[in-house]
Amino acid sequence: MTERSVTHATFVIERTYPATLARVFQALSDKEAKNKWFVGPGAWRQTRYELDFRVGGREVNSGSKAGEPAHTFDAIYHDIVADERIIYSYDMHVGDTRISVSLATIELRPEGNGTRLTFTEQGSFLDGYDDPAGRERGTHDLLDALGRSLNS
Amino acid sequence: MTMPPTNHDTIVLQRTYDATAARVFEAFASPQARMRWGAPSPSADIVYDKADFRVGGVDLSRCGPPGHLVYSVETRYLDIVPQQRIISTEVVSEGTNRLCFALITVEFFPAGRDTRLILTDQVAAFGGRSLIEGHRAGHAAALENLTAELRRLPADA
Repeated sequence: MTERSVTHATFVIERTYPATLARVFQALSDKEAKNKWFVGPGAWRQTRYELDFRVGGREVNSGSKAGEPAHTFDAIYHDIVADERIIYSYDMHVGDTRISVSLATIELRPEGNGTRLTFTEQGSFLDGYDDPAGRERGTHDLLDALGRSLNS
Repeated sequence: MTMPPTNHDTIVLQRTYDATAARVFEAFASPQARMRWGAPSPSADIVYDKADFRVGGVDLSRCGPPGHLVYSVETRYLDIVPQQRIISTEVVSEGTNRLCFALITVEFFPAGRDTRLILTDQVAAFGGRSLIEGHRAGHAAALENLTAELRRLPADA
């Protein structure tokens, strides 16, 4: 019998990228561009990636390391303003178990010749499977990967 | 291009009800019940145009002053553990303007013969704090109404 609990946490991460708003927005909205950086770490291999980038559209990203259950990100987009703002909700599954549900806000604004990105996650972490600090660290890594993809 | 910043907040409300967790959960699961207790103020109405209480299901409702249900709400259910927890997203719009977005967790804890309910509303809204305060007031009013709903005899339901 699963011990039920919910931990709520909010974290905010900021990055400045030496790229235009349009370029950063493209990395967040175009399937090919996003798939360059929105991947799991190390030996993680993707098995499924779909991106329907519109309000009401769905994104699914699933993959695993050998011998381990799949980690699946499943999102719905709620608000999109080109080059400025994206709001979506998503849940994470490990195998068939839902481990978190979150609301995420991405805001872009110009900063010098580059773009300042502000990422706010309001998360509900379920039943002790994952912890907010781990999610925050993982998000830092992904936003770093986004930055590297802009250089290529 | 001067988009207002998005304001974020987490609102937590707690209530204890003289009813079993099953009964309180049912009041959330039933759209007929929610039309009786779920309006965001004592003087507002709420109507469900579509209801689908299951993981992945979507409710579409309208609320506002009677005869002027100007706010439309899209509720999407993301996690349901019967009699224990409901997690949903809520997007409130006025016409085509989306005003605010929320991740709402409702947890039900048995406490003797009563049920303790904790509602956590993680909200993102534009244009200052008034929408966030509106969320707080709206949830508080509905949770007050829920007390009367739970006193209804099963035959009245």
